[in-house]
Amino acid sequence: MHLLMAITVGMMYATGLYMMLRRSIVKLLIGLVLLSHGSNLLIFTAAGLSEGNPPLIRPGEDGMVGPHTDPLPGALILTAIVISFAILAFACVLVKRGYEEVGTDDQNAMNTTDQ
Amino acid sequence: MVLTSVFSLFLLALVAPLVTRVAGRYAGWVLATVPAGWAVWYAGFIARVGEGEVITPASLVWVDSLGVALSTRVDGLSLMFALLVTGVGALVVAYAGGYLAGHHHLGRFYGYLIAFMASMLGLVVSDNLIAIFIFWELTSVTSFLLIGFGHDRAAARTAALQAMIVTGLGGLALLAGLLLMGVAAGTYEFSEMLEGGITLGDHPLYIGILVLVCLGAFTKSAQFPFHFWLPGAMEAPAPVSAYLHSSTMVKAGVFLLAKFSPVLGGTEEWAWTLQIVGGVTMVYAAFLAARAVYFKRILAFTTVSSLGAMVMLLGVGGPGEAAAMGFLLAHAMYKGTLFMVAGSVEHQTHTKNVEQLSGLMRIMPVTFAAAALGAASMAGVAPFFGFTAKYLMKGPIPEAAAGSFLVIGVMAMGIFMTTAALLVAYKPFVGKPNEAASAGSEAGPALLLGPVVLSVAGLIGGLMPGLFVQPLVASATAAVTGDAPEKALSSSIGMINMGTLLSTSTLAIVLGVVFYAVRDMLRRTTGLMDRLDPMLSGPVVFQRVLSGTLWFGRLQTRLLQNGSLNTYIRTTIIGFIALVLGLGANRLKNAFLWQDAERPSLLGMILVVLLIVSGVAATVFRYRLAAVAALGMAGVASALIFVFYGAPDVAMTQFAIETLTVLIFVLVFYHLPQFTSFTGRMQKFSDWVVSLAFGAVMAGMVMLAVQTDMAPKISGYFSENAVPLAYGRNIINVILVDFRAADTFGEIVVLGIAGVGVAALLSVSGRSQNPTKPDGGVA
Amino acid sequence: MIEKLAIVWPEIILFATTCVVMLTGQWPVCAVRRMTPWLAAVGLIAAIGAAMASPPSDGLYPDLVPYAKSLVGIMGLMILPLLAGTVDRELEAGVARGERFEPLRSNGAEFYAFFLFSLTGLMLVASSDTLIWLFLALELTSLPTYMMVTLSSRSTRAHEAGVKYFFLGALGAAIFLYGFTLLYGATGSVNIPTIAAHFAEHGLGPIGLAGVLISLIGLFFKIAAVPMHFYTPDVYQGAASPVSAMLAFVPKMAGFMAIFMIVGSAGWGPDGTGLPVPVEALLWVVAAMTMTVGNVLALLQSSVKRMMAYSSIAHSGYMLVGVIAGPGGDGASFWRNGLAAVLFYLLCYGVMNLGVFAVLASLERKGQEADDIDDIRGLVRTHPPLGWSMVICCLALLGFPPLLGFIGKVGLITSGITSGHLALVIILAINSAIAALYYLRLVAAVYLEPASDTGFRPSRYGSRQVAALVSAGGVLVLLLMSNRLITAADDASRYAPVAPETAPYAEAGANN
Repeated sequence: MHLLMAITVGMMYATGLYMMLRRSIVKLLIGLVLLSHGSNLLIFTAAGLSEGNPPLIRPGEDGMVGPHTDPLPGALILTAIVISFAILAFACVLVKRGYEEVGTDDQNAMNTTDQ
Repeated sequence: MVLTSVFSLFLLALVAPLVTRVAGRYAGWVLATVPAGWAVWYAGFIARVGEGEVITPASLVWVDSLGVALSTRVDGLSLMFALLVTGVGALVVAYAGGYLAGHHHLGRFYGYLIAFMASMLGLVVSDNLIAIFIFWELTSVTSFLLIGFGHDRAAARTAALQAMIVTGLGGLALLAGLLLMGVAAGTYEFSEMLEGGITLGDHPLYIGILVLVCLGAFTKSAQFPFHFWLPGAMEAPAPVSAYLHSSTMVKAGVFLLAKFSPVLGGTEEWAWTLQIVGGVTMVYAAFLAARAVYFKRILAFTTVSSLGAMVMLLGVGGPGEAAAMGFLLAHAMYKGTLFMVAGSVEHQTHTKNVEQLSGLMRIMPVTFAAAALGAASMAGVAPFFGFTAKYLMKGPIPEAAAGSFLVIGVMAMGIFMTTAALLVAYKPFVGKPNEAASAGSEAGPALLLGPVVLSVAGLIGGLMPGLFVQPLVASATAAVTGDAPEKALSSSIGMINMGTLLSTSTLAIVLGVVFYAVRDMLRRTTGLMDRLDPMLSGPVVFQRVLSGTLWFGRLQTRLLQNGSLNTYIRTTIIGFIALVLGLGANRLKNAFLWQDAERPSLLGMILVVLLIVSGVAATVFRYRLAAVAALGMAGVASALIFVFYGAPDVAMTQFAIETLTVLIFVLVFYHLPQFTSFTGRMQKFSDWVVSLAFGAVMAGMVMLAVQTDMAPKISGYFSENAVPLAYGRNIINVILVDFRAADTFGEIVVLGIAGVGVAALLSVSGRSQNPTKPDGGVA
Repeated sequence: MIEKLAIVWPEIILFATTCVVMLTGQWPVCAVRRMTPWLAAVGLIAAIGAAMASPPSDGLYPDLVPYAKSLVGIMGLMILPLLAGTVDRELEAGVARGERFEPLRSNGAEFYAFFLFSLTGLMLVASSDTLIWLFLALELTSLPTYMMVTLSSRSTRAHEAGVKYFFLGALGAAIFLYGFTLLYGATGSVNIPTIAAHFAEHGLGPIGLAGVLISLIGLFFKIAAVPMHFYTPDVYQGAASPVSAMLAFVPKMAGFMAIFMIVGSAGWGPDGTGLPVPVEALLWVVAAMTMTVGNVLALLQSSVKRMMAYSSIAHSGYMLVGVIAGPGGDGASFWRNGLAAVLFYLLCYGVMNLGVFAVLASLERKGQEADDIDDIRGLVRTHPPLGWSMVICCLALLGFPPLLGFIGKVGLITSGITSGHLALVIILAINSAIAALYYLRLVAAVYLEPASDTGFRPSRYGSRQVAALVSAGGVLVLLLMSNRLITAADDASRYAPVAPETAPYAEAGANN
């Protein structure tokens, strides 16, 4: 399964990058989302996958009994998800404004500063 | 007190414009009193230093932790230079008063000149290597200001920049050399190196130090192939040439080599480098001097030639050092004289070309007398000081490594120097006054004082060497060789056969006169030199290197720095892949040899395939909403993976965020155009190649990560302490709100900033004057 | 938890100030709005005070916090007067004519808030001891800067700059996040000292190595090093000069702090020369390329802002030399301590560079800032204070002795020599020579060339000129204080990896 997950992470990064290499600026946003899926799965995979119980402590017990998944990566991914959402929201507005300013979807037209 | 002399001059430089305004036309005389006073003060040390004493006043600590201090040390070498700097300096300041009388920026000029004087004085009395470098660069920058003084003329600006660039580059090399020296010796204090008897000849860094220090010294002292900047610098007003380009600044390189020779000298590399570079410069520049026609240009080339001779003598070593010191002192006097004479003639007649002048003797008799004395010294006629210097020089040379070559070289230099001496002191002055000459008149006292004093000093130095020449040269030599002063000179004098010397000198003078007589033919037959010299020397090489660099830069700009975000991302990623593979390829290859022991479950496989398919779909769909739908699908698939592997909380969040994302996309896309395809098939293909390579690297790394056994199995702490410490049963929740609450707060802040950013951008949008372009509608 | 709060007092103060600034910035009363920068200044001063009294942290560099945070606060104070008049110009002009103030159309509050947020993030970078905090702090530092670039000017350029900066920044962040994850995967801990202890005990291993390398490459975006440097010229030129001035310092400082931590976790070994070979190779190659690319391309520019952008790239390359040299072994002097040299150079660079941008920001023609080299010709004659500030700052940047940049460079070079990286030092020296060409071009334009009337006049926001003069003055004053500052930098760079057996558990250390 690890092998499959590794390939999935790779594919998410590959598709995300491919979208970020498009000249149409709207596609950059989609690339961003794909990249963040890749990162989340990466954290999840890097911490080691184990099918099993969620890290919840049953009432009446003081700690986990039996095998369970590692809670820390879960916490990390939550952080990553929230941050990437914040970034995505900003990116959407930035792109929209960029389109209004430059008047085209083509980011190669965004080279006013070029020498 | 030694530091006071330096700082008092810096202070004087600051107030010079004010003094000029108050004292008017007497400002030069007033300002000259300060350096003159210091010259007298330094002269008081001649006797003490002559007995071998070294004056080391207390130092001023500055950046202690870096070993940088303003410490001073006055030995024979420093004293000789300090006297030149202050003595000639005083004369030049007075001279400038006459030369630039009425110039509207005269005050500023005095300021620069005296600031230069202070820097040069600081350079020669400093003991700390970093302090030496600081003053070294200050002389470069003040000379830049002085050369560019007439900066309304483009030629002056170019010359100033050229001089600055050459000496600045040399300065950087010198800095590296000095720092290496400090690291190798363990101290930046030169006196500590001397006292510790440190010689770096065997140190592994020696070659590096030697090359870098020599680069610094050679650029400053205009050695071949860096000689070009000095004739260019003749754009400067005459007092500057007389001061910087004959007696002081250009000698800084020689000074440095002389000063460092106890620590760096005495090796084969040292001897060969200095002898060859100095020897070539000496002959080559003397030849150029003999065929030049402009007053100051002739003098500039003879200066370069003399500096070459000094460098060469330092390389010869042994008694050569005494000769170098003697020659240095003699040269400072006669060349100072001649530059001031040249300035006076230019100033009075407004003519720069010696061939266009004749008969000035009757119009400017005193100037002529000074010129004649100086030129005789330059040609090495007995009994002038110049002869004494030559006398010292002839002894050690045949003994040197490159002996026979150098003997011929010195002979050639003697011949051309005579020709040059005739060009500057004979040609313009004899014969009937022509039109240009008649336009002039004898110079005033300010313009006469300097040349007269210096030329007479040169005569006295030759006639009565015991008065000041001998103690100065002897103690300077002692500082260079480390011997006692009285021994330093005697060893070189014993080696000379008077008969040979007189006969070779006479021969040189005779041949010099012959060349003078046929100078027109000399210039014509060697006309090739006019084109060859620039090619041999710096400007062309410098231009080549520069334009090559610029070409490379432009190419880089056009290919990579073209303003396109795509190109930036692509190049960045390619660079990333190259760096990671280049540095870790041998470690990464294991990743792909690995067999996954664990069989994937069916559900897991389905989810993974779903994720990949929707990811790819998002990239290939040509309708925006279809792409967004695929994206949503990918989000759901990854959330399901989280559920499947025991992270339901994460999955919940992922579902929520995914829904919001899709909503935002739909809303934003409503205002944006349809997807447009800008790229061709080839571009798409190559982008896929780059992307898949990137993905493969990333996947490879993940495989490495999961097959490495993680050391301490993590998070036991959280599981154990969730209930006792935080009273929570959902461990992820406990982590988020208790154990790592600060992180969560940070997240909230980031989210908040994004929110404010969105609002701010939209408010800009609200007041934008441009009407929003019609969008492509929703597919 | 409570005792740990003592370290983040400066951040707490700044955060509180930010909240106040958000309110006053859009207060309907003009006088209150005018107070906003002053309030920000008060907050910064208080934060500096708190930073100086800060106790040692648990990180790899226990004493870094006071130096780094004071430095951030001081640079913040120096940039602050420059920000005047960057946003809301037309709006305030309208209010002055008697129009009604509409908070919704104003950006002043957000602008100052973003500025303070970014500085807060920067301070947090210095005190972070876990990878999660480091990531959050880096995001907190850079997110506001993306927005500031976009808001800083109404021109299309600023917007394009914002888009480029943002997307490349996101890519950079994705890369270092990936690297951080690998570090976590390799060691099972997010606590930086624990990671360092793990590496010290077990060696880097392939995955730890990949983690370090990839984190570093991602962080190169922050310091504008090759191959992540492409955004720099476009963004610096596109943004308004005050924001460019900030961009040249804030992300660079954040990047170097983070690089200290990541390289520090891999460790320089007991004698200070044992950086793992691939890590050293990466830093070496990137340092050499960064210097060269930056300086060569700067030669081509006629826009001063682009020139300064490339020079900013080059200066990062210089500072990487100090990172390679590392902190030296036990009891190493400043001669050997590359990290101290970097910390000191950051201060020098911040001040010198700010001066140049401040001069550009102080000159305006119809609301447009000076940018081309022609715009500042003969400035010494037309506006002597601005002209001389430019001359002093350019000479200092060039490393002209005895100015500030020179002292900084001596530190970097000696640490390079003493750690045995002669070739790199020679590349640095050659690069300084190339740099001299374009800095001197600026000096020559300002000082030597005749003044031409280009129509540029000093900005009516006088505080911008104050910023220029303060920077130039700072270059001179700091020079006199350099011994104390170097000693401080030396103390701040004390590298104290904990022994493996006493390393805090990921969990315990994470509990801040």
